[in-house]
Amino acid sequence: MKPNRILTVLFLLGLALFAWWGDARMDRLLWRILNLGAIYAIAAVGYTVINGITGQFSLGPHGFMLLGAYFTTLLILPLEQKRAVWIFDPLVPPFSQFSLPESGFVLALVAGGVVAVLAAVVVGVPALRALRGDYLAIATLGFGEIIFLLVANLRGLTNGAMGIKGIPFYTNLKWAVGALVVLTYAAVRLKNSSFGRALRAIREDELAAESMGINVFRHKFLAFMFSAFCAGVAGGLMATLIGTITPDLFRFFVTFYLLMIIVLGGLGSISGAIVGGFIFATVFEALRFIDTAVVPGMRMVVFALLLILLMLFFRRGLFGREEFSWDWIGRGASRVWRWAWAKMSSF
Amino acid sequence: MAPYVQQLFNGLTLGSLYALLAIGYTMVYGILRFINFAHGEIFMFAGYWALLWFAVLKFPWWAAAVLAVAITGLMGVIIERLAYRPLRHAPRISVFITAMGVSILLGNTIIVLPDWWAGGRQKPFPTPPAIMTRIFQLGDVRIQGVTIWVPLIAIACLLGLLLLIYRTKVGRAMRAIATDLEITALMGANINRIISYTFLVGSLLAAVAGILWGCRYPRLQWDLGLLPGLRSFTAAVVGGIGNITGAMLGGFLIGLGEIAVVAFLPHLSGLRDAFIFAILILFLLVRPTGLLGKPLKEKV
Amino acid sequence: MGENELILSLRNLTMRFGGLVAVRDFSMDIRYGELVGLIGPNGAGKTTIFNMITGHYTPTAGRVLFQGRDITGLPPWQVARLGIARTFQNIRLCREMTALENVLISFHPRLRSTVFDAILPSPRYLREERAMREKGMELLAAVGLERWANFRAGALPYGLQRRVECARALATQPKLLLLDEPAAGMNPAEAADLMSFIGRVREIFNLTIFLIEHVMQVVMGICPRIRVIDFGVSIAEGTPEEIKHNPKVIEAYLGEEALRA
Repeated sequence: MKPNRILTVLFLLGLALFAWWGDARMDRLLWRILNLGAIYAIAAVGYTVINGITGQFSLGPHGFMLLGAYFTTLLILPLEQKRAVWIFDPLVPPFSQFSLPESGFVLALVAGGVVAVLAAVVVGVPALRALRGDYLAIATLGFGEIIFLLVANLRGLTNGAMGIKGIPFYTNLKWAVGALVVLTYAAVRLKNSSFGRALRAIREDELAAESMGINVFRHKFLAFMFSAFCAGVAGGLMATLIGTITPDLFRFFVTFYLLMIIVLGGLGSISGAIVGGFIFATVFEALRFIDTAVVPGMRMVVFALLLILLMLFFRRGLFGREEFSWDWIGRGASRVWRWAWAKMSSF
Repeated sequence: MAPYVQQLFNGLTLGSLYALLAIGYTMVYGILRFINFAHGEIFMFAGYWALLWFAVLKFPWWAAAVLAVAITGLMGVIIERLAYRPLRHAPRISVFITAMGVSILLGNTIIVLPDWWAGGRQKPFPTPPAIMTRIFQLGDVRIQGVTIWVPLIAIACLLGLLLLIYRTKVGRAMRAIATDLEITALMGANINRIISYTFLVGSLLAAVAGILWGCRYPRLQWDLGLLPGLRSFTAAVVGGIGNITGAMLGGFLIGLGEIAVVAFLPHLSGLRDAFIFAILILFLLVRPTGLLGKPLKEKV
Repeated sequence: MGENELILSLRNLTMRFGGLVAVRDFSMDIRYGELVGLIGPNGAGKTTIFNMITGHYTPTAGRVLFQGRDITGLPPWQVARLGIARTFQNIRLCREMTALENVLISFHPRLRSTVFDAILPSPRYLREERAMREKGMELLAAVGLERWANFRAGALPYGLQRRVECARALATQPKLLLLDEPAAGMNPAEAADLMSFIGRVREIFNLTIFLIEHVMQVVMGICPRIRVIDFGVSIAEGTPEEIKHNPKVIEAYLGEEALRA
C-alpha cells in the first residue's frame, strides 16, 4: 500500500479515537465549536463543489440547509414534543403520526439531504439550464428566499415563525465528523474522477467543454445536487445540535458565511473548505465578545471587512485550487531539516 | 373614482423612486457587467446622512438634504475606487462577492453606529418642510405634497440624466464603454474617470431617491435598502439591464404593480416579496434582456 | 453525387443576427476523406459557418446534414458525440489542467460508468480510467506531446497548445475534423510542420478535414479543393490554381485596384 494511503488510514483512525474521546471528556465549549466547525465544513464542501470546482455561482445553500434542518426534525422529533409545539396549526400527517427513534438518526439525516436535493431539482432545472454568472447567483438567491417564505408560512408543517424546540441533541463529534469524512470522501473521489475533470472543464471554458461532447447542463446539475445534499445534511446536524430551529436560522447570512469559508479555503479546494469551516467556527466564537463587550452587530462588520479584504488581497485562499497532500508535510519537513543541517554545519 | 386616482398617484410616486434606483443598477451593469449589490445600501445611507446634518448638526432641512445627496454620491465613488477597481480584471465572481461584502458592511455599520445617529432601532427621517407635507385637495382626492413632488423631482432628474448621456462628452464616453470597454480604452478615453462618473451619477440618483423616500416613508432603519433595492433591481431587469430607458420603464411598472397588488389584492400583500422574486426569476429565465433589451449572442 | 458518399452536406445555410446577415444561402458538399479549405477576408462568415455545423449557432435558415442525418440545431455536445470535432480560432484550452487532462476530458462522454461507480470507486470505473489514461497518452504521443503530458496546458508554448487542442479534438474519435485557423500565429517553418502534421493526422485517424485558414501557404499547399466566401456569400470554388487566378477572389481580398493592376 502506498505510504500516503497508510497515513490517511492512520489519520482517520486517530480522528475516530479523538471523536470518541471528545464526546466523553472534552470541554463543552470546544466540543461545540468543533461540531459547528464540522457542520459548516460539510456545507462548505458541497458549496465548493458547485461554486469552486464547477464554477457555477449559487447563492442558495441556506435554503437547502433550512429544508434539511426542518425535514430531519420532522422525522425525529418525539411525538409528545410534536403535540406540545404545534399549538396553533396542528402538525399534518404523516409526521403527526410517527417519529423515528434515535437509531433512525442516520436515516433522518439522509432524508433531510434528499429533500434538499429534490428542492435542488426544482431550482436547478430552470436556473442551471438558462442562466450563468451574476444572473444565476441572483436567481438562486431568489429561490433561497422563496424557500424561506414557504417554510415560514406553511405552519401546519413547520409551525411557522414560532419555530420548533425540544429537538433531541443527537449530534456529537462522532456523527458530525463521521458525516464530514463520508461526504469529503465522496467529494474528493468526485473531483479526482472523470466527472471531476468534466466539472473543472465546465468552470474553465464551458463552450469548449460542450464542444468535446460534455452535456454541460447534466454535469452542472450533478454538482448542484451534491451540494444541496451536503447542505441538507449539515442543516439536519445543526438542528440536532442546537435543539431549536426557526425559519430565521438559515437566512442569507449563512450563505455569506459559507462564501467566506470557501474563499478563505480556496475556491475549488475541498481541503480548504474543511479548514475554512473550522477556522470560521473558531473565529465566530472568538469574536462573540465583540458583540457582547464592544457593540452588538460589530461581529458582522468585522466579517464583512474580512471578506472584502480576502477578495482584494488573498483571493486565492489558503489552498488555492489544490488539495492537501501528505507530500506537503514530507516536503516541508525535509526543507526544515535541510535548513537546520545547513545552520549546524556552518559552526 | 377617487381611490383609483389616489392609488395611481401612489404608484407613480413609488415607481419614480424605483426608477431612480434602477438606473444605478443598470448603468453599472451596462459598463462593468456586474450587479452592484451594495446599491441598496447607498440608497439607505442617504437618509442617515440627512439625519446627521439635520437632527444632530442642526442644519436647515434643504441644506441637510443637499449635503446628504452629495456625500452619498461621493460614497459611491469611493467604494468603486477602493473595492471594485482593483478587481476590474479579476473574474466576475470576485467583484460580485466583494459587492456583497460591501453591502453587508454598510448595513451592519449602521447597526454599530451610536444611537444618537443610527443604531439598530428605527430612527425618524427628518421631517421635510411644509411644501412636502401639505395635503392638497383636488375634488375628492386628497394628496400629500410629497406624492406630487416625488414624481416631479424624479422626472427632472431622469431628464437631466438623459441630457447627460446623449448630449455631453462624458455621456458619449459612457455609452462607448457600455458597448466595448477595451476598445474605448484603446481609443484614449480615461476609463477610470468615466467609471467614477458613472458611479457618481448612479449614487447621486440613489441618494435623491433615498431622501424622497424618507419624505414619503419617514422611518429609517439599517435594512431599509434591502427590499427597495431588490425591487429596483427587478425593475432594471424587467426593463432591460444596461438600458437606461428600460430602467425607468421597469421602475414605473414595478411601482404601479406593487401599489395595484396592495390596493386590489390586499390579502396577498404579505407575499409581495415572493411575487417580486418570482417576476425576477421569470424574466431571468424567459427574457433576460428585458422588455427593451436586445438579445445578445456570445461570440464563439 | 451519391448521398452516402457525402459526410457533410450544407444546404442553403443562412445566419442572421438581428439586421445583419452574416452568412447567406451557403451550400456545400464534402465527401468522405476529403481535405477542403474555406477562405475569405476577415469577417466573411467562415467561423459562423463552423458554428452552424457544430451547433453553437442555430441557422436562421437551411440545413446541416452529417452522414445523411439532419443535425441542424442540435446542441454542440450532441454534434460532438456524433463525430464532428473542432478546434477554435483562439485556442480554448483548459489552461489550469494538464495536457493529459485536457485530452481525457474528451473521453468522458464515452464513459460507461456512473457517478456512483466513480465515487466508490468500482472496479469497472478503475478499469475505464486506466484505459482512458493509456489511450490519452497514446494520443499525445501521436502528436508528439508525450513529454508534456503532465504540464499545465497554460504553461505550454503557443505551438504546443495548438497541438494539445488538436489532440483533444482527436480524442473525441471524430469522423469529421473542423480546424479553425490552425496556422494562426505561426512562422513559415512552423506552418510547413503543420501542413505535414495535418496530412499525417488525416491518414492515421482516417479523417475528413474541413479547414478555415488565412495563411495561404497552408491552404494552397494542402487543400486540393478550396471554397471562397466574402460577406457571407460563396464566391468561388476550385483547386488552388483556379482560386489564385479567380478575379472575384482577387477582388475580394485586394480590392478593385488589384484587379486592374
